[in-house]
Amino acid sequence: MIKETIEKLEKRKISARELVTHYLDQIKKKDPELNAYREVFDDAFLTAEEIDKKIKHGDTPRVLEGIPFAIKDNILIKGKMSGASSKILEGYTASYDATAVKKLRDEGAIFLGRTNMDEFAMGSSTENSAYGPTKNPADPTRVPGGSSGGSAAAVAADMAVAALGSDTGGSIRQPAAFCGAVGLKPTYSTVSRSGLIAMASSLDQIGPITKTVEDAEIIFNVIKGKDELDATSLEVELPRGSSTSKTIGVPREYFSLAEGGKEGLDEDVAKKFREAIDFLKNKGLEIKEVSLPSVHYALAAYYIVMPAEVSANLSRFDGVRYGAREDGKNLFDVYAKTRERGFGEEVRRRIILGTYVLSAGYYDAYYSRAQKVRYMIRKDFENEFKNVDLLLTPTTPHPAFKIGEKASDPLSMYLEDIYTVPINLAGVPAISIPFGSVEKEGKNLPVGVQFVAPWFEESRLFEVGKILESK
Amino acid sequence: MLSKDDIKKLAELARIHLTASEEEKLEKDLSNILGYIEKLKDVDISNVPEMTHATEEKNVFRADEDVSRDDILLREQFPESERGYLKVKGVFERE
Repeated sequence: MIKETIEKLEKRKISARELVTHYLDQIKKKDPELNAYREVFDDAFLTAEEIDKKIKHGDTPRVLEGIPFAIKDNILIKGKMSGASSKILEGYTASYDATAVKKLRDEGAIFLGRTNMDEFAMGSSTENSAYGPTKNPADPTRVPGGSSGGSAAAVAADMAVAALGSDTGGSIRQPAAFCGAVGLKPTYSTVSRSGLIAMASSLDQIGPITKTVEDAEIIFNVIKGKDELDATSLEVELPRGSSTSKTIGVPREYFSLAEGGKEGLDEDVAKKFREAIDFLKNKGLEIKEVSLPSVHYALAAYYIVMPAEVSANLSRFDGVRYGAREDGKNLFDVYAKTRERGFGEEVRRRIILGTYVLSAGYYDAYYSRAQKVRYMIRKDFENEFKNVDLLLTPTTPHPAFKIGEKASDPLSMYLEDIYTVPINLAGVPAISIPFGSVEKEGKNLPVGVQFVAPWFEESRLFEVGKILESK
Repeated sequence: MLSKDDIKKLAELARIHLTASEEEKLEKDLSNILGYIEKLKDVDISNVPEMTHATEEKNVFRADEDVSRDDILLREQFPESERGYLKVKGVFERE
């Protein structure tokens, strides 16, 4: 989509101004119902006019020239408000660009607005936003997934060409699957986290949500790279050209990851998944059953590591330097009241849980044990990637669920991420690709399948993703 | 698994004020979540190292030079300021 659009732009069949007009019209028409955007910027036309001038002047278009983007509300754009959909950041204006945003800007991207999300990226449905849930474009009585639900809904409903999201335990891939978009979580450390409002720093990655695999590839190639503002970022020479994957492993544990009978794989989704396997077989790929024995423990380890990091990262939101501040009789009181009123229920729950697992005397029982289990999970991936080029799994155990269905039970919401969390713990890259839909209550709900590659082998995801997409 | 006193103590450590009904709800929710996490006790972790980084761990050095950015927008974010300085309540209270 991006390539074709830029070609049209270059041949002057369309102007950047017309592109922006189209997407703003779509937003005006659809977003009052969907609530994907928290804010639509008023300066998109200014950028579009500059771009049109340059093209008129005969300049060669840059990689993302004139492409309208939606940006998740936890990724900073200089001079724009940014709030991670939390009351505690109300009124906060970013004083710098996130590195990923700067890279998009340098390649000519236009920012249409910022998108709704679960508060501080904590959730799988966008119902935890302090500004109301986003609705799924395929069925507005259902959630779009989360936490990047606004970004996924914006792309799926054609309210942007592409979007940025962030993925800590599935927050790009799960909403992409629920809405029928492509979502990429890159290898940990390939995309700078500078300017991403941190949730769990050893797991967070920024990535694209797009309409096609090729678009995800184009955007990934723009935003990746070492950045001195993120000490964990790495310069990696990604393998170029055809990667010629031959064998794909299907981890058998993914079919038995039922937790208390709750999250077994939906039968219709399983059927679609088997269809995807058959399709790939027909394309000449060999499918093998593989085993990742430790993934049974992935979600439990995640719910120690993630809240531990959350409790540390979110201590900076105390009403002192930015955002909302509540008055109190002394400094402690200011902190405690600001954080009581500013944070929503789920955020408070995770901060308290993280505080508990890190408290003196519990380190060995919880955090240290979880980090060891994490090591075992990474080893599982390492071992199987000696036997196969890629792994294939369903992205989610079922299609989008109803708004309110899981809101009262935190644990059942956590189980939403059971297929995506192991990937973040191991740090490997994964992509969710739409693969048709299943019918539930008379609505066609999108289904996604997830490819997982070894560290830094994103090119394998794009290659095989394009094959699957061709169906 | 967790007592109400535990929750009170954790809330204090986390600098979050909680109402009595929230304390009660958290006590229940956290006990559920911790119950789920218990399954990690079944894993044999003897001789397994802790994983501290997903890809590569390397010290990053830079010259000891001022790298501060344009701070006007930063200062504009202060909830309260005086003569350009960030204003906060005193840490120690006067007698």
